[in-house]
Amino acid sequence: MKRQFALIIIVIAAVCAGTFAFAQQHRPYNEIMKDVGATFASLKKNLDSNSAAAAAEDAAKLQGLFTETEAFWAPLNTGDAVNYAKRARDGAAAVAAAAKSNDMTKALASYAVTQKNCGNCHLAHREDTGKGFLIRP
Amino acid sequence: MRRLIISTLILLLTSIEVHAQAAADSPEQKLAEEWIKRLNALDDWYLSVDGKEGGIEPLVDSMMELYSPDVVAEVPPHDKDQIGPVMLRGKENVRKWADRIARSQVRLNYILKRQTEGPTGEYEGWRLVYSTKLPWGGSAIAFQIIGVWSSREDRRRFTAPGAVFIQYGPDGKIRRLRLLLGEIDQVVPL
Repeated sequence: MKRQFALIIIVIAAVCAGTFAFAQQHRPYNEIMKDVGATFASLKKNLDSNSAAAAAEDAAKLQGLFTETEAFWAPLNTGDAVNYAKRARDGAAAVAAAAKSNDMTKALASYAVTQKNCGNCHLAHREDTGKGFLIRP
Repeated sequence: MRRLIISTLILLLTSIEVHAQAAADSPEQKLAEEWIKRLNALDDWYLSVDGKEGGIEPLVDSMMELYSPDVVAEVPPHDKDQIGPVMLRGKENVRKWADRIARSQVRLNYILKRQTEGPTGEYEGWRLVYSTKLPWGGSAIAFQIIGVWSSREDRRRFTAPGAVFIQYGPDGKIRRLRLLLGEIDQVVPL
């Protein structure tokens, strides 16, 4: 009985450790940014064509991507990048909410706010080498 | 008469240029510029796509190549609680200082201050490096700087006027360094 109990405890601990380790990992940053770029372009297209449902879907996806972006920067002692990611995520949430309520003017305004945060972060942390990009701390 | 004036002007301008070139090419000037260059390079590293800090060690190594193992360095305070300069003894302690700069500061832009003879010539002209031979061997240089850097953590940008005093041993390695920075101001956009 005691042995069975110990075994259960070990299994639970292993599952918890695995889950925690998985949560700590994140995708390579270039993959996250490529997804952001493609989703952002799709969002703009859907906003311009008044496709509210599709725009809301894109904005919701962006929220997740900016959460990933924030997780990338969080351990790197770069508070500004974390804040840009947070504000971009909030902007995407505002786009999603506005698109769901069919307020495309408000959605476009929130889109511009989100885009501004992207631009500011790129200005501070992205270096164009001509062949690709480098991530500045 | 006109030819004489033009010839004199050309001669004068040429001699100024030659003089400036000589000042810029002096060994002392090169030593000062090399120190500034390696200090400014400490932020020249990147993050990998999986969030790893890469390339700091070679930059710190490059800075430390200039120092003698028994170097004594007086540098500005590291943290808010420290009042007055910090005295670092030995290359390892100076290395920790350089490593700390590399990891905590970005957009480093230390420059040698320029000067001309006139009373307002503070922002153009020559980058003056003062030098002397040391009585116990080796040489020393001193120069004015303007330090500009940003905090990596929150991107706040700072500037400070300062001066650098460096003593070299006969082997050409830095034996003593004194980096003075005064009136550190945060740069705030208008």
